[in-house]
Amino acid sequence: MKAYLIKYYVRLLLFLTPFVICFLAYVIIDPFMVIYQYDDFNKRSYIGKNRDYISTEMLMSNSQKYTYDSFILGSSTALSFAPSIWKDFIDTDNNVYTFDASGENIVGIWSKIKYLHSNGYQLRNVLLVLENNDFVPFVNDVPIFMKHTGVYPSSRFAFHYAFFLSSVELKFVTAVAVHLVSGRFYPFMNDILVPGSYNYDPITNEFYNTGLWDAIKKDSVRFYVERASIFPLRTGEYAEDNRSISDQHRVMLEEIKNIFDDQGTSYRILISPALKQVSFNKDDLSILKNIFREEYVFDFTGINEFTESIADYTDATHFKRGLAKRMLKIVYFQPEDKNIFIDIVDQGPIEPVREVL
Amino acid sequence: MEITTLYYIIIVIVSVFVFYLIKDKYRLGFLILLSCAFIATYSPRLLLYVLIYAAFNFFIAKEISTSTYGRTFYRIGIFVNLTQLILLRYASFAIDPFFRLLNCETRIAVLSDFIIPIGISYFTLQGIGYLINVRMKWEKPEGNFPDFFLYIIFAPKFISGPIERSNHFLTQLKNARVFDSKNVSTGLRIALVGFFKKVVIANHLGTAVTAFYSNPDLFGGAYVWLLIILQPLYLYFDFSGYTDIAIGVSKMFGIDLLPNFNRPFLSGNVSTFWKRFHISLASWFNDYVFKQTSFKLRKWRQGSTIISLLLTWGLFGIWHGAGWNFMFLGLLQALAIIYEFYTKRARMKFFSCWPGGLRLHFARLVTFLFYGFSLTFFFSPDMETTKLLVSSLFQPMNTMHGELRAGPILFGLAFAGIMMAGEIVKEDYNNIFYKVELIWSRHKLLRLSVYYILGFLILSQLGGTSVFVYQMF
Repeated sequence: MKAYLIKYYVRLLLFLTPFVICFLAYVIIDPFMVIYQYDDFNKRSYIGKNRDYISTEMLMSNSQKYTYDSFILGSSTALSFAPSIWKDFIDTDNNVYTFDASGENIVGIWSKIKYLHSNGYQLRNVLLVLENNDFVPFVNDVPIFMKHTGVYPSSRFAFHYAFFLSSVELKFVTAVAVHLVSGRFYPFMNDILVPGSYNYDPITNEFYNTGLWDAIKKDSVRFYVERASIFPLRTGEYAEDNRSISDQHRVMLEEIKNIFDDQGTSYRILISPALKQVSFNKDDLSILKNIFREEYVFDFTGINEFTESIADYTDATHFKRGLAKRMLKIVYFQPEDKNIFIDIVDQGPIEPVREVL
Repeated sequence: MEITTLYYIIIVIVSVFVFYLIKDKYRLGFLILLSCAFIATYSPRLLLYVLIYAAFNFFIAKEISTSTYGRTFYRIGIFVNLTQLILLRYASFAIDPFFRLLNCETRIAVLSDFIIPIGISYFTLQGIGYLINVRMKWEKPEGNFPDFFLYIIFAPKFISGPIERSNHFLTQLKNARVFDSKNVSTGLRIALVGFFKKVVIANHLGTAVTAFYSNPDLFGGAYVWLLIILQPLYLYFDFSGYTDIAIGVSKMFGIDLLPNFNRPFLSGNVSTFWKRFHISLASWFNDYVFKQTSFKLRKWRQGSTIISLLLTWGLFGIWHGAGWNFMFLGLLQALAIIYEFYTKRARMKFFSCWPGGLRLHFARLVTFLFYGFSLTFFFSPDMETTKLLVSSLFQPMNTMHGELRAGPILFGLAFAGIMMAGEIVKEDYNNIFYKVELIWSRHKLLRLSVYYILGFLILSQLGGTSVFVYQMF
């Protein structure tokens, strides 16, 4: 009977061979660049990658060659606070690093700061770019938002399992295949592939959204007209986010503060603005101010000059570097003599655009 | 543990191999271990609770059968079974409001935080059914506790049924389990179809239903009619998908579970529909509630049938959850069945001039739409939402609609259409079905191609989390 059983299972395994081949293809191709070590993660830019993983991997491999003592943490909105800009506001001779993650959560920021602290990184300057979404319940199962297992203790198997399933998803495979054959992006690829060119600095992890900048530079009016639907309607009335900092979050924030105190870190907490003009919850804000001290917490949300002009933004939540620089000036009380200039590459004309919209 | 994952599939395939590799006398022990491990992935406390629950029912059944106080033990058994169900599942609806009325701070519902009541509605009905069987002497009490424990906890059916009958399940455990490649292959095939129904069809249709109920005030008019069509399909493919996986996996272990679906949307009336949809639950209520009640009230003649129907379907609704909407769901079915009973002659007379095929399909369509409509009570979080949707039904020209992603809906509907067409052929066109079956059995390449297509489609849609609708009961 057991011979029958083994024979049956051999046949079953043969039947399963094509599925095993799918798995081998995932391992060999590594479409999301989460298996092997890479010097340059800018390859295959049309595939949306896990920023948490890439930021962490880059830091891990770079830290043997470069010294970092200043870090920008947050989600994709933190990318506007480019290291090259921030460096002018802080006191350091070492490298600055953007330790970002897509859809970052306070759990991710907390685990990153703990990781840096426990692995001997000096935290001389830290810029925490927060938003209300950072305090939503933490879920670690969406591939693009999953945390690096070396920083946030979690299952490596689950991490690769999620990426394997993403790599065999029908719409993903179809989109990649059509793109590779045609070299073009079609509407059905929206939300699956990432059109446009962009890259990250291999040392500082600074984000250069070159495709988007070029589009604005070329025809800013067209840029905004084509994207009109992604910009939210504003009522002009005061609105506030729901309270979202839990007791568990508070413990994490206090741990972060303790690490900053241990390291003598010069830190700033910046709550990033969004076009919808919804204010960060006042109770949550006072929690942040109580923990980190009022003079280091800066709330740019709500109805104000930082959320007024659509021309400062590239979508509902992502703003341009020029706006980021204006905020940093306030955050760091930038002295006049440092001669900060606003890089207008990504600013684009403002008034005509508003009229069109 | 999520069922629609590669982990689950791999664990099942490996477990079946180990199951037949070990000696027969250890096999049931192995199944118990597997089932315990499965439940422990949800909550170790739940496992301990189910162990105590099974032990209680096992010993009380023995007492019912042997003790001179059998009737008392029977009453205690039913009381305890119902009480634990009410405490863990219905406290927020049935008990806590009374405490609130008395200005009392006590909240019994917190018990369900301590013992997560996964599968409780299913194993409680199995326990009650077993006690009734023993009391009525339809079945002898089980003498072997491990067998009875397995009856309660058997992993494939634990979280969403089918609701097994003890005399069907336990008798199978007495037979030796011999490896039969046909059994394993059939089980694999059934489970494969189950995964396909859930992952490829239900999950996609579910995106629309979830979008509707997340923001019901954003949708109106024709979109609510679309919902009426989508939600029965979604529920059917979701639940029958789970059932197929449960039946398939059990078959691989040499255990046959009761069927739960039999092409329900080809039913010509609501009475028949409930003989073909969620069969194990509907037949349980029919045998243990309707028949018992109508027998006891038999003096009232037709009145007994009506009262029994209302009671049975009211309880049937409440079984689904604590809320008035579930109660209405059940009562609506009862009213439809009563209506069908009293208007049978008139309807036959009215429709007799219609061509047979048209009459049949019209009856099916009406039954489908009725069920689709009644599901608004099932999916709505509260009665307010139900009212909103029902009022929208009468404004079909209202163009108000929230954001619906057409891609997943069309993807799900395309495959749902293929499956439904298959069911129609099987039901209505025997000759064609026989021919297709002949071609299917003769062409191995065709079979392999279809299995691979199903397999790749499942694999390509496994990403993300997916919970079965009936898992919440």
